[in-house]
Amino acid sequence: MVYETDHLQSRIAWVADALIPSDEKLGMPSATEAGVQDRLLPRALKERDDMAQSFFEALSRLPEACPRNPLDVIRALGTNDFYVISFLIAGAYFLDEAVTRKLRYPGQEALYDTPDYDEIMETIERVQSRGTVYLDVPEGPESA
Amino acid sequence: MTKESKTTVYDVVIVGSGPSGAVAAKRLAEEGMSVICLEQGSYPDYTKLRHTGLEFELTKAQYFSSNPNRRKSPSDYPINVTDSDIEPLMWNGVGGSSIVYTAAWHRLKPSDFRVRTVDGIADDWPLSYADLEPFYARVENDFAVSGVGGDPAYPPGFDIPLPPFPLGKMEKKFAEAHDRLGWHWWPGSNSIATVKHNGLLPCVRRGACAWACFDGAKASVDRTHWPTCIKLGVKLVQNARVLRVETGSDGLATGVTYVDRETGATHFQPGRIVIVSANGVGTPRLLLNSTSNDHPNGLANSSGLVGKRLMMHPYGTVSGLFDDFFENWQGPYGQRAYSLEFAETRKDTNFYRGAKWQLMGMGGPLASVGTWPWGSNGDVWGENFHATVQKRFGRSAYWGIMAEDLPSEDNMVVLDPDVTDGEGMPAVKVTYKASQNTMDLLDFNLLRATESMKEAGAYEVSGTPLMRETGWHILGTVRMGDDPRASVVDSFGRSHDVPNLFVMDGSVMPTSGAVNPTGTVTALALRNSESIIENRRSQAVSGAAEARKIGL
Repeated sequence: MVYETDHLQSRIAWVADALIPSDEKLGMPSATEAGVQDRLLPRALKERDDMAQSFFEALSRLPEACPRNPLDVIRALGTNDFYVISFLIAGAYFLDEAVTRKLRYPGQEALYDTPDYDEIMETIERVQSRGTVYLDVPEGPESA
Repeated sequence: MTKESKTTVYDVVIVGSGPSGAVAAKRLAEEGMSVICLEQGSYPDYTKLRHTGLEFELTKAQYFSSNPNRRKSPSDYPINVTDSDIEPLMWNGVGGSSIVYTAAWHRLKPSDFRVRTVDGIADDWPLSYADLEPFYARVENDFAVSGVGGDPAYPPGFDIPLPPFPLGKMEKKFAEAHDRLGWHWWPGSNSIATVKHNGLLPCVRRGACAWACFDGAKASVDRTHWPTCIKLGVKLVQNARVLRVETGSDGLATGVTYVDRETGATHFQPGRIVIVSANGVGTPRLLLNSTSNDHPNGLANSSGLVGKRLMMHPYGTVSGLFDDFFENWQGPYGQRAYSLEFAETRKDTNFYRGAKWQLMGMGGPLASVGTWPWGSNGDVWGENFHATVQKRFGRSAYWGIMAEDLPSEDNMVVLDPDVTDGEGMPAVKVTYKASQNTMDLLDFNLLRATESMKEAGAYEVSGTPLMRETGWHILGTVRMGDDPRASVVDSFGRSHDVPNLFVMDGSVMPTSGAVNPTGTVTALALRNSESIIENRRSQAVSGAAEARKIGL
C-alpha cells in the first residue's frame, strides 16, 4: 500500500527530531539528518504496513508546527499512539547503515564459533567443587 | 450443519499440534495406531521473518509476536486479561508455542514433585523425579538439547546429548562473579541444535529464537516431530478449530466437533481415544465448552477444578550496564547461562520455594530503547536518546528471574460470556493475581541478582519485579492427581471422569517448579503415550464411536 504523506511532512520532521535529536558529543545525527523523513520512514512503513494507519492517524492529531514542548505533546496522544510513533521513528533510524556502523551493530550475523571445551570444563569444575544445590527428597508422595 | 457420515474412526484424535501433541502423535503412530491431529492454525511461514538485515528488529514481532492479543491472527482467540497481572503468551499453529519459545530447556528438580512433603504447602505430584527421569532423557534427545551435563543442581544422570555453545565474554564475567560469591551458575541448556541432529541444522546464533528460527536450528516440533509423524501416516488437519469433545451415552468420549476455518463447515471427527493438548488456556477452554446434560459444568470437571489453579511463572528482570562492549545481541537469545542457587525453599526467607535466573540476550539498538527488559522506556527519548543507546547497546546484560508460582483456585481461566472467536466459540477470560509469596520471592531474588550484576562489574543496575507480558508458561488448569475429588486427570493424563479422554500439556502440572516446562510436559506426554500403548488392549472406548465407524 502507498500512503500519501506530503501533507504530513512538517509533522514528521519535528516529531522525528523531537524523539531523536542530534548529539554532537557522541557524533550521532538527528533523525532527519540520518534520512528518516525522506528515505528511512517510507521503508519502515512499508515493512510495518500493519502499523501505518495507526501511525498516520496519531500523527494527524499533532500540530503542524513544532510546539514548545514537543515530547510532552507527543506523549499526550496516549500510551499506544506514543508507542506506535516512537517505535516506527526509532525503527526507521536504525535502518540506516551509517548509524548502525557508528554503534558497531552489524545486524544479526551468522556466527560459526567452536566452543573451547577445556575452558568450559575448567569453569564448570569450579561450580561442581562447591557441591550440590538441590534438595534430596523422599520418593513417596504425602498427598496427590 | 455437521458432516459426519463417512468419516474415518481413528484410534486417537489429538487436539493441538504443539510439543505434547506432537510427541504423543509420533510415539502412538510408531506403534501402529491410527492418529489424526486437529490444529486450529497452519504451518508458520518462516519467510515472513526478516532475520538477516537491519529490518529484523523492526519486523520481528509483526507475524511472530507471542502475544495473541497483539498478533490477532485468524487462528487466535481473544483472551480477556483485564483482571490478570500477567498476559498469557502462545502460538496457535502447527508446532504450537515451540515456534516462539526461546528453547531454554530444563528438568524439574526432585523437590518440585514433593512440594507438600518438603514445605507443607500446595501439593505433591502423583509421580516422582525418578518416574519421569527416563522420559526426560528420551525427549532431550528428540529435542536436540545442547549444553553441559553434570549440573550439581540436579541428581546425577542429567546428561545433555548435544555439545554446548561457546562461552562468551558476558557468560565468563558471570561465571567468575559467581565463583567469588560461591553461587551456582551453569552454561545454558537449550533445545537448540549445535550440530546437525534430528532434521535440525547447527545454530548460527542469529538470536531470532523468540520470533521463530529461520535458520532451522531450534527444536520446534514442526521440524523435529511433524515430518516423522506425517511419514508414519498421522493425518494433520490444519485450520481446524475444535469446539467440543463429544461423549456418548456410555459416558466415554466419541470424538470432537470442529469447524474448518477455511470453509466454515462443521465436522464431527470420531475417535476411540481423545487427547487434548491445547495448552493451559486452550485445554480448559475446550473442556469447559464441552458441556452436555451429563456434564453441565464442562467435561471432565466433576472436581470443579478445570480452569482453576492457573500458574504462569511470574517474571522479573535485573539489568546491568557495563563498560565493556560484547555481542549481547547475538544468540542464543533465551538462555546463555542460568543459576539455580536460589531455586529451593530457604530457611532465611519469608517465602516458600524459589526462582531460576537466566542470563539472556539483549537485542539490537532498537531493543535498547524499548521496554524489554528495562521495564519502561518513558525517559529514553529526546536528549536522552543517544546516551541511552550508547550505555545499553552492546554494554548490558540481564538476569531474567523466573519465580515458582504456587497454585491458587482464585487464579483461573473461564469462558468469556460476552466474546467469541471467529468461529463462534466462546473466548476466555483470565483472572490472575500474583501472591504475596510471589512478590516476596521476586523481591529477594532481585536483590540477590543485583549483587550478582555488581559482582560481575555492572556500574549501574535496575530491576523490574513483575513484567506483564511474560505468560509463556501456562500451567495447572487441569491438574493431575490420584484423588478424583481434588484433581482432573490421573498421573498418566487420563481423565478421572472420562477414561478415554487424556490431557497432555502444561495444564496438568500440580505445581509449577521454577524452570521452563517444555522438558517436563513433553516427558509427561511420552510417559502417558507409553501407558496408552501398554494398555491399549484394555482401553475402554465408546460404543458410539464404533457404531459410527460401521455406519449405523
